[in-house]
Amino acid sequence: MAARFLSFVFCIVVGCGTEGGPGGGDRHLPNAGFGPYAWLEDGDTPKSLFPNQNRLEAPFALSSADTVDLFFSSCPMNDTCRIVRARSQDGLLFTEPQIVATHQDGLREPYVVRAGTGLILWTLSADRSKVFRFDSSGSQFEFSETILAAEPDTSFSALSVLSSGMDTEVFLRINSDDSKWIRRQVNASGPVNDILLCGSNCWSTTPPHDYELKSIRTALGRTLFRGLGTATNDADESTLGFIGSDDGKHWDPFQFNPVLTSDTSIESATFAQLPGRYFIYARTGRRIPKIIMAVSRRGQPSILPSP
Amino acid sequence: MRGIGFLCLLSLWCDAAANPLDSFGFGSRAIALGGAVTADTNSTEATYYNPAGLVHTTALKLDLGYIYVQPDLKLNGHGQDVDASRGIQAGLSLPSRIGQYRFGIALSVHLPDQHISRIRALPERQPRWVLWDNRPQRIVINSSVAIELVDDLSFGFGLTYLANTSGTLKMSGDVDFFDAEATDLLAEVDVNLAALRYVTVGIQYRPSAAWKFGLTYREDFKLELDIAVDVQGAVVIDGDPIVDAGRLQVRSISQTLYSPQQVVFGSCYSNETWRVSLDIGWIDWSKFPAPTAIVDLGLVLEPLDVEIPTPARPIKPNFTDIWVPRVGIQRSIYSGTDLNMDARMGYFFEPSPAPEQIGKTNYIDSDKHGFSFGVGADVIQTEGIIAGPLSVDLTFLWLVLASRSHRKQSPVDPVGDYIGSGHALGLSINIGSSF
Repeated sequence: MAARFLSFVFCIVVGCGTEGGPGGGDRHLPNAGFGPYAWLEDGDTPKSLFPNQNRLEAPFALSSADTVDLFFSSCPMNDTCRIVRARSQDGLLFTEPQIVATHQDGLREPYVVRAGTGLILWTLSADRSKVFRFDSSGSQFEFSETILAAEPDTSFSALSVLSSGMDTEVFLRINSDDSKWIRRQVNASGPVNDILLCGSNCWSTTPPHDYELKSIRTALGRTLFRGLGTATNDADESTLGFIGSDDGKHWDPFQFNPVLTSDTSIESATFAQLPGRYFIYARTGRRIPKIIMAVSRRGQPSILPSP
Repeated sequence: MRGIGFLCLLSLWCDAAANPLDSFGFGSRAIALGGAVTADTNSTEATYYNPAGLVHTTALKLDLGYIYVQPDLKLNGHGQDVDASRGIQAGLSLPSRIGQYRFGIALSVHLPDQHISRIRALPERQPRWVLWDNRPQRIVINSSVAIELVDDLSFGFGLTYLANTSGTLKMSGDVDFFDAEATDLLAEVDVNLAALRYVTVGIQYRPSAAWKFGLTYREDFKLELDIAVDVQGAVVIDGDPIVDAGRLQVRSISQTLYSPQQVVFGSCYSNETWRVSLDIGWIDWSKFPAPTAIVDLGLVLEPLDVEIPTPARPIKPNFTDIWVPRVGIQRSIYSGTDLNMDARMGYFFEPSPAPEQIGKTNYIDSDKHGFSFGVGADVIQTEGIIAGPLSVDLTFLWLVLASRSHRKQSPVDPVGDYIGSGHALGLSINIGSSF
């Protein structure tokens, strides 16, 4: 009797059972933001985030827990280049850019870091011969000092500033007949060091022309450094890839580069995140430039915004 | 007994493993006592904890229960939606005698009601709660027998049957590089379900009415999914053969389930009011193989000079052996002529066998604390409804997985640092009837 009952229960449950199925912990897995990424498109082309603005250059993204600020250099036809800022709650829709910093030499390539409750803006002069520092004053920035000046017949590009402990270092590309990447302590007496951001194990066959380097904080609270590089070949096709470092001196490429490709040239790519979502912003288009973005939506972040 | 035969037959067909029982236990009473019942178990739960206890079965007993465990496991504070483990836990135990020797037999089943069996092989890089993936989603069917060797000393033996799956796909014919319709391949599929079994043995010694001791050994086992693909034929372009006898061989072996060998020693002291039991178990996790596919490739395309890279071998997980202490306490809270009631509580600590995940693999696990609370009632007078006593047991289970950090060595690790943590809540109910 009992055995018959067991057989009956067994058959009922087997009949209702399923093979395999979803679940088991494959959702919401960590995602360190390395990609892959996809362009946010309008039709077949990347969507312009600022369709009414065609003078925006060199975006730099600064994210917090619930906002993304984009800083640009904006170069009007009859005026010097200045720094403008736009803000977004979701990383997709931004406010109209507002001027936040000006200088008689003009300003290009903003790079912004948090310092206590305020911000520090680092920029190049419009002719790329100097590095300026600005300190925040309310929503505006005021000029503080000139940090670095280029040697004759050279210019700067790809400005980044990383802090490690008490040291703050400026990372730059020196454009000359023999272009190279350097890092230098903000302290003027500090040495200038060449740095290899893309060596023998470079992620791109074409040498990257641009890198944005940032410090990030992992889920365990430690600080690492990450760079987003852009390489463009002779056919004006660009690829983007990540590099990383734990000391700011030795950099390694991410295993699954490139994380993003484009059939048009990409300039000044910058990366940011909101909880659970990672973004890349960049400038493209030589004749009609526009600011575009790519999104990685896979999984949840393991990297938190740097304080 | 035809029903039992039917169950035994089905056990040969299903992927089965004792792992849901390793994770959560078997039987409401045993779970309430923290699983510390190796020295003192005598009904269908003995098929898992110590088959030697079956000699102390006093009557034909039917147990029918249900267990539901809902995990809430997180990475960096985000829930992973790890599946619940739930199903029927039932069994039948039968005492008898051969001459002066008592013996007992039993059959038990853990029957999940959402997955009959789940096989999932993930890349070693993908983070997963490695011991909560396939492990709790299995049918378990145990059959056990025990005999009293001498007074107060009994020996038990149990078997669990498993099905191991292997298959081969053979294809032969012509492959056209540029014209799919011109490709003509004949396919032949050969799948083999080979029976696999593992053993549980145990002894129990009862030197007095108050003291009991037990020792159980569970054999290790590994379930693999073995798939081979063999493609043979000519390679042609526009009808012209460029390779007359090409061959592609692919073989993938995935370890889909592994249960380590275990040795558990238990002791129990009891009087009319109290029952206190202690178990200590050794679990041989150091032999845990990588739970990901081993792939072998072979390609012959002579006279073409073509080579394919050898797939990387899975990284050894480097799990370590662990010791698991368990304690269970039971107190009689009511004793009457027609009703006995007991309150129970238990605790166990299971250290994680998995190392910190600092490299390419992401086998996540944490130290586990198990707390259980339960009550049991024996209705002695059941006048006319059923012949013997009716027992009802209810248990709440709370598993706490300690927060654990995993710091990656490489600053370009694609997953990055993370913190694993979580808990699981469970409920088990059992109704037993003696005939």
